[in-house]
Amino acid sequence: MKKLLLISTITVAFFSGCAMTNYGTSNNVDAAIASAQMKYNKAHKEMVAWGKTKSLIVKARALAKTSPKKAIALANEASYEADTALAQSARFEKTWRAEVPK
Amino acid sequence: MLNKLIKIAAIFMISSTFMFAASFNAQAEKDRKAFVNFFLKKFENPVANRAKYFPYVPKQELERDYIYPLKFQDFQDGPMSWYKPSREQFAEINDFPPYEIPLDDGKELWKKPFANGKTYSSCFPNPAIKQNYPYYDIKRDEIVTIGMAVNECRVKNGEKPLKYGKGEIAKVIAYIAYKSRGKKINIKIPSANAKKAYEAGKKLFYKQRGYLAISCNECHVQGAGKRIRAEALSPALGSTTEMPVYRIKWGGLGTLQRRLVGCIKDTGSEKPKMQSKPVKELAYFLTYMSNGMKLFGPDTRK
Repeated sequence: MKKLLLISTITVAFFSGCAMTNYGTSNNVDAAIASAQMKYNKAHKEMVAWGKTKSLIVKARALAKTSPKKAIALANEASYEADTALAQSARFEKTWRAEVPK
Repeated sequence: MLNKLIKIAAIFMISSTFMFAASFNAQAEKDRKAFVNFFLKKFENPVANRAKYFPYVPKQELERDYIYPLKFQDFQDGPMSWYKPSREQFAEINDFPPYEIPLDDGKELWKKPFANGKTYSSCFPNPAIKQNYPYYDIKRDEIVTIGMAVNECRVKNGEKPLKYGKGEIAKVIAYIAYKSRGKKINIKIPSANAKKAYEAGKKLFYKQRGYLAISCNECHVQGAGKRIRAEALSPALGSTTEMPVYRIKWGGLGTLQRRLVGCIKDTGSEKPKMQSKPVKELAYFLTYMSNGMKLFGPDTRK
């Protein structure tokens, strides 16, 4: 009886957890895309954006309604690229002068 | 007395202009001399200097395939300046230079009257002007490229501007380049803002970028004289002398900016627009580095 109770509790907890996580809902997609766009804009303004970041956001937008999980994955990838581009730029900002022949 | 005062004031103004011009130029000249020396030393004797400049190139290859020592003007030939196999291919290709037909088209376009009856000559009485481009226009406070000058001439004469990078504009520039052959590159830094533009171009050249995290410098300064697979990397010194080039890869003529934009894209960066501020600044810096070198455009590249 205890076993049955434990299993049912875990099952209920698992599914309610899934239901509460709104992964893949329209709110989440919009937020992921908006965040990616914001980061990309910053990288673009600083002239350090990577080549594919913009197209990832465009693809994410196109898939937002039909395939939200994919859209989020693409938006997150774009965010990662933009973040890395900005971090890379900040790092090389400190070192590029050492490359100039003296 | 008044005349004397005017004379003294005039002398003072002229000399201060030169003094300021020299000060805007000072860092750039220092950079250029170090840049040129780097290449001259690197290609003085690659076999003897293998440990310093070519540690990963087999000694046999250095002895067999490298041309040295190279002089300042030799660098106009890009990878053909130092790599024997490329030079042999280049010699074969240039038996019938592929840029000749587009160059003839450029000559025709130069002479062809606009709708108002005037030609490009109305803007450029002497087409041998490429050695002065890109230049910093103090009044406009921006870099003016040869492509911009061609398009501004068209607009001034009631014509539509041409698309940058290739096609008709590259042909017209090829004709200007051909007429400018033998002229020495003469880029100036006439103001504080011109100096800023030069510094911005320098930064774009040396700072790593894109998902490959590489810079122009890594391939065309540090990497010059090495290979990426079978392709010989060209030295940045002299790289603007042969523009526009007929690239086999393009199957046609292309301008300096087309090449620069393509190179930036190859680093994994977002492709900037031609004639955008950063691309013009990069062209300004790069051309300044070849100051004093004779022009030899148009030419052929792989």
